[in-house]
Amino acid sequence: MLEVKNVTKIYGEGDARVFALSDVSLEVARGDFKAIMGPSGSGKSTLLNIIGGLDSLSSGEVVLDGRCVNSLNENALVDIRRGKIAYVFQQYHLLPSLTALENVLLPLMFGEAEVSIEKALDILRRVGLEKRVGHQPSQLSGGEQQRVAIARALVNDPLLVLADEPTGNMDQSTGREIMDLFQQLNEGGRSIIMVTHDPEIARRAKETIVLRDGQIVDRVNHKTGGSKC
Amino acid sequence: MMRSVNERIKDIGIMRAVGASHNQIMKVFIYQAIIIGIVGGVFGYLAGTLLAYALGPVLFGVSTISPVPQYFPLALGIAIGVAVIATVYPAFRAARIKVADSFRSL
Repeated sequence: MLEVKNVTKIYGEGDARVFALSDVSLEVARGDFKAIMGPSGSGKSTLLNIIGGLDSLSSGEVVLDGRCVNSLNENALVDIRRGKIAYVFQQYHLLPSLTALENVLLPLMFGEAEVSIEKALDILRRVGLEKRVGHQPSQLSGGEQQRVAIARALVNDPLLVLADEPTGNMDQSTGREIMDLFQQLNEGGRSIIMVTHDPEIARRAKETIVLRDGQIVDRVNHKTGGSKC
Repeated sequence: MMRSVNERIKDIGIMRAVGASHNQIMKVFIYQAIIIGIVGGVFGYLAGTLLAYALGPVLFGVSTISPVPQYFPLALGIAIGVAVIATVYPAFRAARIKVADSFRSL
């Protein structure tokens, strides 16, 4: 479903060039769940942003469902964001002036699909927020805000969910609840790529990819326990 | 208006990440500018008229000041026009910032 082929991302020019990613390749099948780990500055979030078309790459290719994401124009990228890819961020990135329900409705309002309040309410119910739909983000806890962000990500039925440290701002028990949600989504057939610092969180994925200095240095399959590097 | 747009760069990034196109972002800010223009135009016209009543006789030595309602549409149009013009360029630029950069700019 997703192929990342020899992706390199360089910031700066000349002597100031920094390789944020260097020749990174990976594949994600439908229903896959990959964790990306590595120290700060290893290129985890850059890779996620490039996969999702939120950032440009310097060389290489990202192919999603047969379409080369990095060569798409802005309108085609908008189409991908409306249907194929959804994001969950560490900082939640909810619009502060909107309620939980309105934040979940936002992708439908910008998209071409019908704006279905029932659908948004149903997803909020699935993430356990049926009693908080009228609350603004400032009235919700971190865990609840992240649930709203997950509901917003799901409202367009995306093929792939990209999550950048979704439990990074949470205590362990809230983090576990959020991870349970991600695992349910994956068991329902959704592909997930998740950036995390936490090895325990990463073990919930099917495979962990370890990045260091912009390069893949290890891949751990959590089913077989084998390391490829 | 430029400050308002700049302060909302993160919001623009969020809207784009969930599927908003450049045109939709522009529309959000232009509609906001139209509302600000209408409110500003109405209040500006009323405040200007009251000020003319209060200061007109003192400044210009006339005994009576009569309002000119024909100028109201013009005042409103100018207020809306200025608000929209002041919004278009910063909103156009902000809508073209890479989503990842809009989150990094915080």
